[in-house]
Amino acid sequence: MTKVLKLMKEEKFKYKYSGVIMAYLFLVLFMVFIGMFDDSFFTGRNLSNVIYTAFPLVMVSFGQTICLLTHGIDISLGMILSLSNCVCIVLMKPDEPLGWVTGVAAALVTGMVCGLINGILIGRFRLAALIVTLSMSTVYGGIALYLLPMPGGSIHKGFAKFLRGKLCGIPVVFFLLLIVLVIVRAVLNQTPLGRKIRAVGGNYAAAYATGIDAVRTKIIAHMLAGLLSAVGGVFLAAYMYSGDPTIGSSYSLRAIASSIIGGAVFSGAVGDVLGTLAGVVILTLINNMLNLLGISSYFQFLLQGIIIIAALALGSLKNVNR
Amino acid sequence: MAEEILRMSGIYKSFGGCKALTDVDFACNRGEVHVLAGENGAGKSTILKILAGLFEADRGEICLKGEKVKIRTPRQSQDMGIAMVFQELTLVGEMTVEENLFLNMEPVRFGVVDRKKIRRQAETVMEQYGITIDLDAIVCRLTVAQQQMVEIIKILLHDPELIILDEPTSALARKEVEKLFQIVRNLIEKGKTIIFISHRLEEVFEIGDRVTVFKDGERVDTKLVSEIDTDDLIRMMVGRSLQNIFPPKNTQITEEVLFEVKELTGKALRQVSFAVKKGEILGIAGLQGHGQTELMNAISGLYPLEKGEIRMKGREIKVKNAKAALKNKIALVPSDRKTEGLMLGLPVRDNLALCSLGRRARMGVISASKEKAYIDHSVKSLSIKVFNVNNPVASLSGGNQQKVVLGKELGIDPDVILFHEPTRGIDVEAKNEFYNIMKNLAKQGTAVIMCSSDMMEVIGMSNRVAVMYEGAVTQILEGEDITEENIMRCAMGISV
Amino acid sequence: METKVLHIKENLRKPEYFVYIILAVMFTVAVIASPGYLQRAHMSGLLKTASFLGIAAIGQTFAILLGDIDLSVANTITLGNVLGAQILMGSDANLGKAFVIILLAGILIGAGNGFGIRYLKLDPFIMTLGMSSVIEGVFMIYTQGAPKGKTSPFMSSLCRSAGTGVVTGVFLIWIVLVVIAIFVMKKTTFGRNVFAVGANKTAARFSGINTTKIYFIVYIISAVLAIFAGFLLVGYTGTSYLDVGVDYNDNSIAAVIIGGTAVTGGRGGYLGTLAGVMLMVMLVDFLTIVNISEAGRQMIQGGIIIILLLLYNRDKASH
Repeated sequence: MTKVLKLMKEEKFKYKYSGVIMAYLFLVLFMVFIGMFDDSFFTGRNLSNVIYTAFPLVMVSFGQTICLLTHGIDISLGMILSLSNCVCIVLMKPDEPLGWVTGVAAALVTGMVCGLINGILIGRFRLAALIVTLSMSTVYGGIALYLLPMPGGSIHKGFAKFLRGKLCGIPVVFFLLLIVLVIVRAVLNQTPLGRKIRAVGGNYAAAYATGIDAVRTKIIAHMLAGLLSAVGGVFLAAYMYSGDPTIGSSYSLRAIASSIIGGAVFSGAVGDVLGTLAGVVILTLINNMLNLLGISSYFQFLLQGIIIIAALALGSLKNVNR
Repeated sequence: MAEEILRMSGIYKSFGGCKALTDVDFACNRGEVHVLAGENGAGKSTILKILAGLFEADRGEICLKGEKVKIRTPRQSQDMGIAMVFQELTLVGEMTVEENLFLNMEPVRFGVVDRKKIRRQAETVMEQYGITIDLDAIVCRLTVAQQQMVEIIKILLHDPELIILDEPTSALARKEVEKLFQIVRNLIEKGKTIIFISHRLEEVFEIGDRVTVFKDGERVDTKLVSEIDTDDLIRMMVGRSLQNIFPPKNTQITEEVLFEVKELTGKALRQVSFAVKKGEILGIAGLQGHGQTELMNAISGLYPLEKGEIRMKGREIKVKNAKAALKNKIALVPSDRKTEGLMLGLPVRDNLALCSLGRRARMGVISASKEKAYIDHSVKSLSIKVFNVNNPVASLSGGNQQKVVLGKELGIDPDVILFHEPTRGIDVEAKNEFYNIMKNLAKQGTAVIMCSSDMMEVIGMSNRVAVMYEGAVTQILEGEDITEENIMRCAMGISV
Repeated sequence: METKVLHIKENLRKPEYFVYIILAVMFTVAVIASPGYLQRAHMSGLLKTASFLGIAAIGQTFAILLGDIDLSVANTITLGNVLGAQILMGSDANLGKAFVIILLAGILIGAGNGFGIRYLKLDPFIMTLGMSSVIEGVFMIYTQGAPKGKTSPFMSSLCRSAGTGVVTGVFLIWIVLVVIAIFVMKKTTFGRNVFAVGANKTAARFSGINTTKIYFIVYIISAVLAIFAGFLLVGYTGTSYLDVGVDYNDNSIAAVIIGGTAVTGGRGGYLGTLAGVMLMVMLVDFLTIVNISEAGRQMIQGGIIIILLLLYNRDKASH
């Protein structure tokens, strides 16, 4: 116990985790608050729903956090999600036993290719990330529409059942989420690639002087983001039993908000997907909470906006001291 | 028993037309602390950067341990056992010390960074050389001194034989310098050789075994520290004739005080006081980093003052921000024209017009005719060589860019004008034009304050010189007392 | 004579002028490819659509010139639209009331953005994003999810083309605003200061410019113009819709950027944005005429912007 307390006092711990801790504190308070008003909040059923709803956003937000770490941004992630969602449905063979493989594989590859394109335009051609991803967003959305003009299509039943199912009473996606969380976090914190990503974001000149191939690093970062968004898209295909070309439109901006609430910064090198996770849950729960408080759904929007600004302002103020 | 580890002979290096090094011979013995001394721009940094592989010499030979070598890239230099710690640190602030040390060369086990190995290697090096840094500390939270330690550990991991430190002590406080020197001694004990640049003469005597003095791109002499004293050193560093680029100084100086500051105190300023009389140019001298920038900025409203008075023609004024300063007719030509003085992407004319927009505008609308007249007048009176005033100011030469900054400031018709490093990076002809402009400004009754680290300039232009040391004015020299030796002494806190 | 030709050639490579060449090319292609393109009804509709985007893009141009951005434009437009429709309720008598309320709302939004950016030190991206959310909340509460209201005769008349059959009221309003915007940007101290701050914030500070004041004014301009664009849209749509502003963020930013204003600020201006707006509107219109699917339209629209960006960046030295 004392060891943990001692650890917490350390400078490095505070620097790296203060954002995450604040985000989780906020989250816990939130959940307690809701729990007080609603008995059914902490039921398995409700919590499962939260996980199902939040999962795609978690994936996209993780991707966004990686981009933010390189001092970049990617507003097209939501559309990459839509696109891979449609690719998955379109290439799925619902009737064959392993028919889901083509769909899923193609979707994941799509995500990576989109990320690759973004990465090349931003890293190699040095175009401003904001505008590039904004424009590519339209392009990817267009391709999604082309593949699947109307929401529909059919999904491999076994696949959908698996992803929507439970294991020992806990949704399968929860385990999937944990696995992704652990892997992404491991890559970012334990591998040389992770350090390169943060170095490029923190001090491009120093990274370059140390011999790091900054262009390659940025490209890989965007590819990972695309891949993660594709995972979210695949899940949605299973969850909704169909594809929808416009489903990802609100994800990009929400992913940015989640990352920032979770402690990431626009200037790069700072951010932890653990915090981003809290950010996503907070965003998802805001609606939940406001509903339960009996607040008119229209006031919800207003409060949602104010809470987001407050959370972001707190996050910003904390960072000013760096 | 001195064994020569390095010998550079006949080194020439020019940048553009500018001769940085002329026929320099430099040798260094194994196991010694060799200090390079000399003014800014004398060539010390250049020769070391050639050694570190950042530049290649135009002519000359380098012999390492008796063997002739060619150093073309930093990597080659590193492989030969040479390591350099620069003034601009190459660390990522948001990462920990440990992460920075092994950046891009992390030992890996099963795809994952082998942190145990890193810690072991780092701890070994730290123990060997007596350095203590918390490996888990976040770099941006460390002091500059500690960050420097991290850079040193970083290069020690490659186990170099020859270690070069570029002005390591300029940003350090006394205590930190002592710590650094202890580590230098440890390094020497372990058989390393150290070359370092210092501007603080007392350090030469404290830690140096031998000292080489550079001046104007040439090596003056190399001496054993034990055989010389401060006077000898200063004499080696200065003592050259004034070139004819300075116009004759104004002799008609009245007793009328145009501008005065009293007891200016702030974080880096200690009760600075001086007065500027009509017709004179007041020079501000001293080694870099002793409060000059803060003084210039404070008077111009860019730096917060804790205490002090500023008086313009006897009347006290308050400058709490840049706008107030300009309103009070205080102009500043800042030291870094590219980041502080100009909008490089904007046309020359927009830059020239900037500070004084209000004077040619009615209800916020700029009068095109008035502006054209102003621009034409500016370009003509300052002899700004420009093809077309609509071109971006980035396309101008250094000297002309500096003139644009001056023109911009003159637009407010200032009563006081401060120059901070006025001729940095500009060619001789432009310098001469500048000096004439400055002299005329003083003659016409504008209070001119010139702060420069170029001693020749200060001596050549100033009627009086206020020398700064650690945020305070050591002394104000006048007339015949304005000599290089006196300025040097005052710059080290010793009154003459 | 030779230097003059060279001079013109050099100028044409600048994005602000280059985009006009592309616009001309696009226009020619469109006229050739679709009969009836030049018909009054069509041209008037085109110019009308352009007017709304054009008005919103004025504020966005200012924001991007500062080196920042305004993401609250879309929802501000929607707010102007629902407020306008619901206050008017079909009657011209309420025009004055609507005007004042909408103006105040716009000022409030702009001041809020300015406050968050300067005093809370929030990144403009984040602040305007958050503000966008708040505005959405406000109009959701106001409309209770069911937008009501009706346009008044005057507002509708602004969207009808009288006389020549091409010029509408809103188009005229836009033209007037264009002239004012370009004038302000090129000929006033405020305009010069905006460019200066965008080009080099530090040097601007050294030159005595009050950056806080500039920020506030820019964001207030942006919000007021956007909210009025939304108000004008009432005449166009007849009533109010919750998604009326949806594409305006993306489209205004794209118009400004392809119009040659640099993302980092300090360079460009509304002259280029004007062409950018026309280009965007004409592109969408053309793609609709030639019956390209929505999918194709999106792909082409996004693709063209990327291509233009690549072209603009070719001369720039890497930084």
